[in-house]
Amino acid sequence: MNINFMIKTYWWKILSLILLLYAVTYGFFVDIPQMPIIHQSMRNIFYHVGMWFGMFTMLIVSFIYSLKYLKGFDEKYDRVAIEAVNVALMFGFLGIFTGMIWANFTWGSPWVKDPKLNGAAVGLVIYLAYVILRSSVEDRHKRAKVSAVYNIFAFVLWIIFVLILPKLSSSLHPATGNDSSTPVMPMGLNPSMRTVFYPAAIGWILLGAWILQIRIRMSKIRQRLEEH
Amino acid sequence: MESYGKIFVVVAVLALILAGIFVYLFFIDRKIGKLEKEISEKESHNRK
Repeated sequence: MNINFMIKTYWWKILSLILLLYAVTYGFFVDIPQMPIIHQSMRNIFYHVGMWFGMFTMLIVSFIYSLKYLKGFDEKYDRVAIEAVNVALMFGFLGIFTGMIWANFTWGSPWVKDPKLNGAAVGLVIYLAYVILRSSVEDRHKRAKVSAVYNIFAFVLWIIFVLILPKLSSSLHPATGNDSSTPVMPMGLNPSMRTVFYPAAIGWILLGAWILQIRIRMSKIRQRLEEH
Repeated sequence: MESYGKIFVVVAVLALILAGIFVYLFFIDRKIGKLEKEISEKESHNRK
């Protein structure tokens, strides 16, 4: 394998590694605001929130490809849609579980009754239902059509449950209704934390893209084997 | 460095794990590339 080819095909994968190495090293030393209760655990923002950025990006990809599929019923778009949801679910579960660890030490319990947490759980269930729906339809073309339509609804519902509804009610979770001014979350994130947060978010998204690419290629190989 | 209470040891471990996962992904990536090549060769062979 020559070096030019390597750089051409792997540059964004290497970039992902560099960004994440930066995030897991400098993320521990960057200045953070002094806050009670949360203290040093504030650094979780670089990693926990990164999971949700990864999930949301994958859901956007899946949504776009479901729309594309419905335009011409080309199966290659359906393949991207399902694999992106699979990667989104991986991020989603990591996001929920990392959140539970964090909540246990800041709110005193891994799960609190909170619109953001409940919304995130509902969001996961919506996409688990997508996977189950797919496995329940035998016919390939029918499966692709039905699940593409469902996926469009799922995306809208996910945004409502995870991004909109928590903003409309009071919540313990930052970046929701009653505290738009917290120094903790991306929009109001303190400048020194941004120097780690944004590179980290891009790194996680690129890592997701890599896993997505691997899944799509595996799926293509499987189909080609079936055709013979 | 001393003021950090050896947290850098943990940071080094994390960095190594992350790099290890990426190297692993890289090898999976290359393996799939080889499979793709193999299957293309077989398909073109079958057509003949």
